[in-house]
Amino acid sequence: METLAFLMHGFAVAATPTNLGLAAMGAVVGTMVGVLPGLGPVNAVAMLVPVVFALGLPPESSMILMAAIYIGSEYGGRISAILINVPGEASAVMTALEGYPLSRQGLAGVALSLSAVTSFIGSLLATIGIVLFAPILSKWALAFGPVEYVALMVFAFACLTGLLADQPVKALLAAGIGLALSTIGIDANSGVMRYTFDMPNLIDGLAFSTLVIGLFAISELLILLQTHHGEKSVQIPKGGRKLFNLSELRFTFPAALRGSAIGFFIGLLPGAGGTVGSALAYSTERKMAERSAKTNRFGNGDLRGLATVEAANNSASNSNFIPMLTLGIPSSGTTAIMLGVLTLYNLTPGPMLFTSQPDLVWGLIASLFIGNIMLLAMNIPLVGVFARMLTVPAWVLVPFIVVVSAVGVYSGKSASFDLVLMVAVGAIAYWLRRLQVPMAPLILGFVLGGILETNLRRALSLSAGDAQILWSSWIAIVLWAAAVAILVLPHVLRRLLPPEARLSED
Amino acid sequence: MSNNRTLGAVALLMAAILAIFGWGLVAPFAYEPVGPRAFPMITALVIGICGAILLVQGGGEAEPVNRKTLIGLIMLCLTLLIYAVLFERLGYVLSTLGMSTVVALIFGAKPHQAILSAVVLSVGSYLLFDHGLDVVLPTGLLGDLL
Repeated sequence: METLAFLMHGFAVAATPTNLGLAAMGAVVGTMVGVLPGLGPVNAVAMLVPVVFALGLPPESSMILMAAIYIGSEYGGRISAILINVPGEASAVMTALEGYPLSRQGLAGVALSLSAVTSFIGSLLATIGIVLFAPILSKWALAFGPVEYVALMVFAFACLTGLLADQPVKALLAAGIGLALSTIGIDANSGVMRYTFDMPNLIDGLAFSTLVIGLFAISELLILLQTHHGEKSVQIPKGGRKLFNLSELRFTFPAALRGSAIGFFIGLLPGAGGTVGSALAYSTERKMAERSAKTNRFGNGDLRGLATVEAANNSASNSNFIPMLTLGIPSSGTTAIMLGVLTLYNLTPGPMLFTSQPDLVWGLIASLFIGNIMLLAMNIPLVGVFARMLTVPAWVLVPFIVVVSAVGVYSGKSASFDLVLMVAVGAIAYWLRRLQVPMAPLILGFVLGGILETNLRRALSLSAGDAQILWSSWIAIVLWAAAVAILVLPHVLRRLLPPEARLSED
Repeated sequence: MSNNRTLGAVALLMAAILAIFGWGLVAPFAYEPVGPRAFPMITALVIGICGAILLVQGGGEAEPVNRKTLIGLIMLCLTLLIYAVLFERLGYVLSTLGMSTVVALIFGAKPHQAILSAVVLSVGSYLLFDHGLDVVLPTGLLGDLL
């Protein structure tokens, strides 16, 4: 009952005209960047970091805007996967497997509308899951002290390197680089300058917005140039039914439910978002279909495959918010950036948020419900308009991205130094990405670095320097053990996943 | 050039720099058992170990880019760098006009398309950000005009 009251309060926050407008804007922008191959929620949210400050938005409004973009891009990513067999973003890889054959058979309209509805089912169920589980988890996490936090963060890094990455060493390297970058600047405890090399611009540390824009906007442009093969002409298949019928919905509904459940639990794990969730849902559904060979059309456009993938994908992106809000541990690049934004508002991410910032937490949760309804309403009739995004030539898009990035970085500190830094970070990030070093652990390392160090030092202060305190409580021991298990588990998981799912970064 | 071995070597170099410049990080008055030096040293160790593994392992050759793409990449990086340096000196509108034209050309626009889109983008975004959203942007050479 208490939860219900909080949720109602959240709806009051989310339903103010500003926040409704921002959610709608985020839904449109998110779907648009989701449609564009190469650009995903990470890039859009990264570019928006400085903009929300320039606009002077309160924290709950910026979170609502960013969350809408995040969820919207999951809806958008499926459009290009179904129409042109190019996933609009990483987690739509599995969508193309069944979606594109359907569209080749003249069923593009059916595939698009059905996947919009199953996306909605996945999102809705996961959001209900957030309402049910997040408050309980946050209450439990209130008992966490510095010792448990250190173990929790090690667990988060283990998840990222073990579950997500094809090459764990490179993921760990990325996390290490992120941690190292987080130490730049004045050390709050002792006043010592670390790695500032006498540059006044570095005393406050690397600016978060400069780093994320370099990592996710500028490096993306270089990747775009590499993959740019002139303009593709996109033809949206004409004719055919625009909407699925009831028997198709009944046929795919159980698959959507299974996908939602799988996505939900995968999304809870730090580091494993929609990509892993949808891959696991797809292979589960495929195995189940193979048992009854009569109706099995997997590989040639099976509606159940499409439905389960989209449900899992959206469910995982929504359940991602649970570890982010309750533990302060982001599970994807996008939620890591959102968490970084919270710290820019001087809010400490973690279980305290539920009690100290109910407006923010419940407003965000309520806005997920509202945003998903908006996205469903938008995505069925307007799918043709969004698909038009695919015809915008790169030479219009790229200068626009540079301008938004540069203005964003400049508005933070009004210094050319940060612009040069942004370009340098972008070029280095491009090189790292070419070598398949994932960017999500890097940004996670940067965001969590400060919190990890503070808690480590606090824990060791309590024990006067004795490292044994780090495994002195049973919660900490469980987390350390889980971290070890996670590093071993992927070798088992990898056998379960189809090969297409192995490379993921979101 | 672009393979795990190079990456490993660069990581080791980074670890060394972190360790060398971090060694002197000692607080003048220590209130706590763990000072400002420990954490950077742990990260240097993590990076160093990863670097060593990659260096020994080798392999992982990145897909080579063709000459045309390579020239494009270098041009794009240089353009962005020059844009960053001239952003304040020339002012927002002029520097964006130049950057946008060159970048559009790199991405395959025809000259008239590049120039037209650059004019629309630089003036339009200036009006949007500076006048619409109150983000103060440098006026530079056009200082009196704007």
